[in-house]
Amino acid sequence: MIDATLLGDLLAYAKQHGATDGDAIGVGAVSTEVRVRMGSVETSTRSESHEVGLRVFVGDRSAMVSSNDLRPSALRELADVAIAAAKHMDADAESRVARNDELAEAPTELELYDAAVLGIGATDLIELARAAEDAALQADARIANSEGGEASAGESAVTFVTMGGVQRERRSTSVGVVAVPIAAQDGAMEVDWWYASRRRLDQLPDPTGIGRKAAERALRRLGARGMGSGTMPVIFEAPVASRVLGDFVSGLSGERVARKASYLADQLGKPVAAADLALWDDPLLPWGPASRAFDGEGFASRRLALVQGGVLQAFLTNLRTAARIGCAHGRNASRGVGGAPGVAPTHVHMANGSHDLAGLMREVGRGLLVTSTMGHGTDLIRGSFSQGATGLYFENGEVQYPVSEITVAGDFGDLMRGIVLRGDDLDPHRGVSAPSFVVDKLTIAGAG
Amino acid sequence: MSSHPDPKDQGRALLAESTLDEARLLEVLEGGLARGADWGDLYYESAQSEVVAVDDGRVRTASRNARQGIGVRVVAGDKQGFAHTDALELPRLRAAADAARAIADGRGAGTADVGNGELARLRFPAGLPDRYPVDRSPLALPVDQKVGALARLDARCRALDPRVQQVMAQVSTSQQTVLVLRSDGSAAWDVRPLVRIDCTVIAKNEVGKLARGSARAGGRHDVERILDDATLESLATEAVRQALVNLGARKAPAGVFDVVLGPGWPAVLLHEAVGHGLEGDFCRKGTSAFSGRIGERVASELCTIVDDGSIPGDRGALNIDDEGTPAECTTLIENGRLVGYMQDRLNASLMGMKPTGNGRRESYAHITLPRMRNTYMRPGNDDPQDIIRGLKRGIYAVDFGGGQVDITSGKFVFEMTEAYLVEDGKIGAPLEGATLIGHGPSVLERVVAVGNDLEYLKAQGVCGKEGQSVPVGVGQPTLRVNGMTVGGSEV
Repeated sequence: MIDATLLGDLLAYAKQHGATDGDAIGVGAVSTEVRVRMGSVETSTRSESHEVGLRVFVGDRSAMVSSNDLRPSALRELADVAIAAAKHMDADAESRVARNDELAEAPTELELYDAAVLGIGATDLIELARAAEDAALQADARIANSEGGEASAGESAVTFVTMGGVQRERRSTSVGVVAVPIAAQDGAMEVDWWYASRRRLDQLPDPTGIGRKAAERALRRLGARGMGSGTMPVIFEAPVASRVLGDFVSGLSGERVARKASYLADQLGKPVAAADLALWDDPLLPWGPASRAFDGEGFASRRLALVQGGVLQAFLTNLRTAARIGCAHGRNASRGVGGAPGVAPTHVHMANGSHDLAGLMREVGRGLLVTSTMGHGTDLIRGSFSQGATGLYFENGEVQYPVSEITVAGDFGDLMRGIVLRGDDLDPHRGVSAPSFVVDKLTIAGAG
Repeated sequence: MSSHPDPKDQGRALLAESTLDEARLLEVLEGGLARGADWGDLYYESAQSEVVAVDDGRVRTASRNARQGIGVRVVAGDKQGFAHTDALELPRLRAAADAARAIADGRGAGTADVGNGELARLRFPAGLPDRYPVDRSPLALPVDQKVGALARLDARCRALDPRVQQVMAQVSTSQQTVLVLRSDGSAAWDVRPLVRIDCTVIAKNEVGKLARGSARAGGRHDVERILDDATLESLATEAVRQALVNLGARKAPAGVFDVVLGPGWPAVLLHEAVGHGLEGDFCRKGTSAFSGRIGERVASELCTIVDDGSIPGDRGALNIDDEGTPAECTTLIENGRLVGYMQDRLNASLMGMKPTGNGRRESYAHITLPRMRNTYMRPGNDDPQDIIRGLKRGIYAVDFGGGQVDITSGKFVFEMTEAYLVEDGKIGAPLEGATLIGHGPSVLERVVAVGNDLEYLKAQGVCGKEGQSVPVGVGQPTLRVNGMTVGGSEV
């Protein structure tokens, strides 16, 4: 952990040398990661890092510096660079550091740290990774190769200090397992993967389950063919549905909205999603992967309603973007050591519906179940969606054959408003997460 | 002769600030070469970077980063132990070397040549190329000059057309100093400048429709070259032109079309469709659709594709890769036949091949992987205008966003950011962005025309692999590819 005193001293130095305000962040992290491939250890990596980021203001002008060279002389030299640079910037009245009175509310105590995670050594991680990969390799004779199994464990600590003297600290652990098997048949290969990541060791699922699930996902891709172009209902399977929801949430970023780079910029109070959808940003989920007691500007975290009854309620904002847009401040600042505060969601979970995946297919009858997408084809400025996809074509609620080398496209606003049914398979151990959902109509392009 | 400073002198001065030198680092590396290790390397890096940006009409962001650290790798057979630290103190470095060697203990053939940290063992290869000679670090340019250039660029974009709503532009500069020390005693320093300017414009028409246009420039050279008036004018003109074209765009069709790809950046198709699949690690493990296919025909005989680290001043240029291997021009596909893979030392030795100078890493904190540099297709004989005129009905794709590939199945996608419908050989309506999807190992078999207009210096790519980003170039002449799937929304 980076000592708050180090940051406080740096801010005091900056103040003496012309900075009128500022804040500083320190991030320390230690982790071990191993990869096992075809049963034998391939890489073992030990990482440690300590980094400091400083933001200084000279009046309404600001600049940032960051470094992993923590010698006080080196940090002071960088502070000088920041102060000199700030003076050359354009004035930006909306940018500022949170005031002490705004930070008076104490952050909720959040448990995110499990000492047991740190008790895991490379040998234990090798066993976890091997168990996951083994389970995948044993699942079926067609699992002939593997990109491996990986396991990692580590901790990180964040220290935040303002020139006004407010100090915040948080630390967290995480442990995870991944399996990436390859299925082969008739000379064609298909790769897929599955993973789990938790903050607590005793919550980590059985690695063999992860391996088997990864194998199932690779196997069901085998024998894929193309399909002809047309429009039809589409089911996005939970991991893909989560990606789509992630794109939507990106469109709520105050940074995009402030520069009018989101089709949602003028949609406050309007229907932007299916009428039965409610979405919250929740930074306070117990042991949540994206939980944090305070945001990137030091504010005590709170839940924020983004969408209620399908109607847009709020954007994700930090101090600057809230002022720039002229809306309520959402306490959604993200902060890396290297840049000014940004904006990011924590947990945004779309609630489960009542059908399992088979039930969704039965309800829809004929359509495409999209099991993975490729590319970054959501244009949030225009609000259009076009992604490469693979999936399973189904009729009468039954899977007919796997398809690949197709694209799925449509208007992104229509897509979000066209979510007519939701599954019951939400993964609560992800940040932005959705259950499988049905979109009434999208355009498929393909050869078939 | 250039008068710029020797990388070795620059590097040693930086290292001395941490009271370290090459002899002490060699000792650390040798400490990590346990019984059973075959070889190892140590990578020291000191890097500075700076970003200055204009957004929302104000130059309000300047951030500078300094990072330094050491990564130690110990190799035994196909196993790698890797540890890194940013604490440049001998006890911490020794602890990192111990962690790296744990993997190799008693497992490999034990062929490592372990000395006693004698500086005399160090050999610095002579005659390394000098592909990015700059007299001073790009970070030495006073920040107010970057601010001034960005303010002029912003004003110029807005002056070009009243429909311009937003201008987002940034100047990124960095300089990376690296030392590669290998257990065989060979060592090399490299000092790598990298500069880049990006300009994105958002335009809005009378009915409130928004569209984006962008342009960029850069390479491994002086920063002044991207801040002069001619460069700023061409960036502004290009970004505004593209945004206005896209304001008039209609929905792209869905289906299978013959596609003409413009020269330059559309070669991101080569990078995704074949480049990644020809990286040595995937080919060694049999996980690439191109594994075991050396000598086979994988493309139309019009296609010759190389990966070139030797282009002076290019974004993908390297004097040495991150394992100290001199970077060269590697032929991957020659007249349609697969002739070579891109290799780092580990995969080359396990496959009985030669390293090709493609061993790269994002930083000291990342392990080396086979990576691309500048991947381009050599020019053919066709007039680009004739290629377009020969297209009865199809798509002319001029600019792209990012791309992605599934190495194993060979499926790739990328997003068109400027494209037109072509009918009867004439360029028609611009099309709104859509994804193109294809199958890497077969797409190049359907290349039916290759232009004479190779463009390979303008691309400013960032390639991601296993969570690591490295700068790359790409290039190609105008190409016609038959039968690609276009992911529009109009059936």
